[in-house]
Amino acid sequence: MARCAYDAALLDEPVELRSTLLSAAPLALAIGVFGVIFGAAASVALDPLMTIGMSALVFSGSLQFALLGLVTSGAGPIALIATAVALNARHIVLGAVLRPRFKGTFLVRALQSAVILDESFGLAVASGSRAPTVLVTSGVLFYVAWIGGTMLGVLGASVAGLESLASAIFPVLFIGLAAVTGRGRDAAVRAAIAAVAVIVLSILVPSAYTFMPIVAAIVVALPGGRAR
Amino acid sequence: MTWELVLLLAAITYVSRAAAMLLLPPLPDRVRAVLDRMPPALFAGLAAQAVVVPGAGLGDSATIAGAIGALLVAPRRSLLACLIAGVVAYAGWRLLFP
Repeated sequence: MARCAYDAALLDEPVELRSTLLSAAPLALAIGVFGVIFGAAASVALDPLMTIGMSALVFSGSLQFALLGLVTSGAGPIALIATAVALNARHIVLGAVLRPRFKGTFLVRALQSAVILDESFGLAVASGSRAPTVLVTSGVLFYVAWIGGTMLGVLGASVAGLESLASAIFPVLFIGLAAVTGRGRDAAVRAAIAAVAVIVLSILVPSAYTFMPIVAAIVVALPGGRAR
Repeated sequence: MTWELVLLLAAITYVSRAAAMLLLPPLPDRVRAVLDRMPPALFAGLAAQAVVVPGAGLGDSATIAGAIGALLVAPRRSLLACLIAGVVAYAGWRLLFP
């Protein structure tokens, strides 16, 4: 019996890998396009090696675009560091949500953490018990797409016609991730309340814009029962 | 921008990703329940943030059309369907209102 279960698990592995790659492929394509845009834009302000190095080491599209904007406007190191701290704050929440699903050793979790980003997190949470495999598989795919896109951008590739579409992809992508990570009417209602709150507060209190999604998510998640 | 600064920014980013994964102790059921309820609300908030111009109002109308397209198919719980619907709605809006 145990042998049968083991064989079944082995048989399932390529299927799981394939389904994860299929789910992640459209996101990887979008990330690759963003990579091209970042590479092309950054090579104006940074040398090519540093542009690619930043993508390889930081691996965070939203942060890198924000840093690039600050660098080109002449901001100093303190502003760059403060921006990194503010924009990365949501990673702590993502890690806290993932933590109960990850049973590996300290070292394994340290390696898995390197590929936590919004997209891999969303796919991992939606996959339930397969979260570690899905996080790592999709995360590595996204990493390759981001580095590859950056290199193409640095080398002069252009996606000029896609730039406005690329900015429109963000809300679409996040709505898709909200849909796959939520289940049922309760999740939909909480998500709708969070979205409305973020829109209203971003207009009324623009200084707190960066932290709005995290704060709204925590506040709407608080009421309710215990884990099942 | 220097390499030292790039390394520091990379370290800040990695620490933010790893902090909870490495240091968070086992959580009480009540806290886990709150964390489990957060992802859809967090992504909905991020989506909302992406269609707003802080301090001003809603942003580009084609982007909003794309978001509405994705919202319409969101009950199917398919990321690919949301992406396709969003891109089609965005492109349709751009065609109708260039």
